[in-house]
Amino acid sequence: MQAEHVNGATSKPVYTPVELNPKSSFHLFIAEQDVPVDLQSLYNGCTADKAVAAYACASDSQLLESLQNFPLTGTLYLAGTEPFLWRVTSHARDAGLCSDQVRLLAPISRERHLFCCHCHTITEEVTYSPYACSGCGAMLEVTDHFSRLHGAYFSFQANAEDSADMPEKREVN
Amino acid sequence: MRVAPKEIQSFRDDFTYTNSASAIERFPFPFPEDEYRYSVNIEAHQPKGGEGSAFEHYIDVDEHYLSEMAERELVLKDMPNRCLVMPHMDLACWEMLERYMVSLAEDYPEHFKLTRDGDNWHWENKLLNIDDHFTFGDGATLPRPPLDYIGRQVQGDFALMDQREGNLFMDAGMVTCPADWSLAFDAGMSFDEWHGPVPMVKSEGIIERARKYLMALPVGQPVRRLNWTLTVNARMDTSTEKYNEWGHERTTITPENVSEKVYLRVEVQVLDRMPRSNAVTISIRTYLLSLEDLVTNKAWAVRMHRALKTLPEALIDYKGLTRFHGMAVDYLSQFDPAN
Repeated sequence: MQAEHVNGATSKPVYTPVELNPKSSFHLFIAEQDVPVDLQSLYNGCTADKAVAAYACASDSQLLESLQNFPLTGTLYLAGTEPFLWRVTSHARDAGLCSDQVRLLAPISRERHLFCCHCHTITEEVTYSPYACSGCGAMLEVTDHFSRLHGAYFSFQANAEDSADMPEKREVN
Repeated sequence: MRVAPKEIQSFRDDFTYTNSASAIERFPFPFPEDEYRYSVNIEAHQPKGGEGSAFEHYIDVDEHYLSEMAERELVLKDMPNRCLVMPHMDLACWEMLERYMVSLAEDYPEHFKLTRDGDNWHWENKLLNIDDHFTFGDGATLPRPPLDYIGRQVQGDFALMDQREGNLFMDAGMVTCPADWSLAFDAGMSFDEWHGPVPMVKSEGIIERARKYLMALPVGQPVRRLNWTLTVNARMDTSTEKYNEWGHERTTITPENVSEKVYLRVEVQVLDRMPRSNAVTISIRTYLLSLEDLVTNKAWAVRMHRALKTLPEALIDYKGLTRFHGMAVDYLSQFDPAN
């Protein structure tokens, strides 16, 4: 597993500008904690039946309940950190929403969740590589290979082949 | 002459794994032409090569059967989550169990026996001394869940893909001998995401074509393709989980030991549609052959040299060959009259 190739992986999500779904009769806008400006302006521009809410936790019971009762003609708009976006998306799928019913705004921060392939721990708020695993302590090479299920990026021990060969620290975007 | 399972050899620590002369002869050599290039290279999974060939049967049971099953037990004991099944894949797992038991019993009656009376099944695996009565479809009547049960009795890794939303999702699998990937991380991914890190394929449109082909795969018409890489030492478990344990072995290759320590690792991948769940099962059967055994076949030595020599830089890197690719090419060059 060589970092040069895992970076640029096609599994890395691409976030395109979000527009209101003209086919929907109900629009639900969900933010992680504070409602960001771009979600607010989508909400303001929506003239159909609509609601807006903020949740600190992607698995908030009230949020899950609103997904369970989500109308077939509804569209869900999500804003927040990348792990939040995909965790809520996963709950929405479980509740029966199809992919066209869930629209994601670009993540509000470049922090990543990192999945350590050795101990399977997820380390949060990662902004550079290599980064110490919060589980096993290994210095992890951050890749662009992304799991929607885990809401996290793949990583592996950066100097596993040659312990003296630690890559230089770099920012991840 | 068929190859009979031999005594247990190891794929770790002291690496006692060897290939007999007949195992070398039947090795599924993967290069159809001198220059290596990516292709979907799919063919019908029909018998090929006659008696004793690695393609004689739906499932190939060879001399390494007991060794590979023992290795699998070690991996699963250490990391039980190398076998993962999402709840909606239960039926697909039962169908795979059925497919495997039926074909093993038909193709190797000396080793396996299946007796069915409605849903009351009796399974005998004489190689592993297994003798179980169970009710088909009822997990409580088996010692382990269906994929975990049958997966410990068949060589190779297994992935089961659910088909929905215009894609295939890897929602179940047993993966103990992968070529540098992690089932725990890739679980639940679409076909395209799963192949996300593979270089070059996006611009060449290969993944999309392969996905479309597989989504149209009919029941009863399994297909196969071959994939390959090079592995240092006869290590089956080159999972990314264990990369921190085996990665350093890539630095141990010298011109003196390259022929005995570097193995051609070939995967015979069989893809099959399950009739009721509509899932597509993939079995990824791994064969290992040291370069020194490989060059006993002169035609293979020449072809291997040319395929490695023309391998694009991006693939050398992706396959993790950078540290010893040159030494392998140099070693093989002596067998190529073009040099």
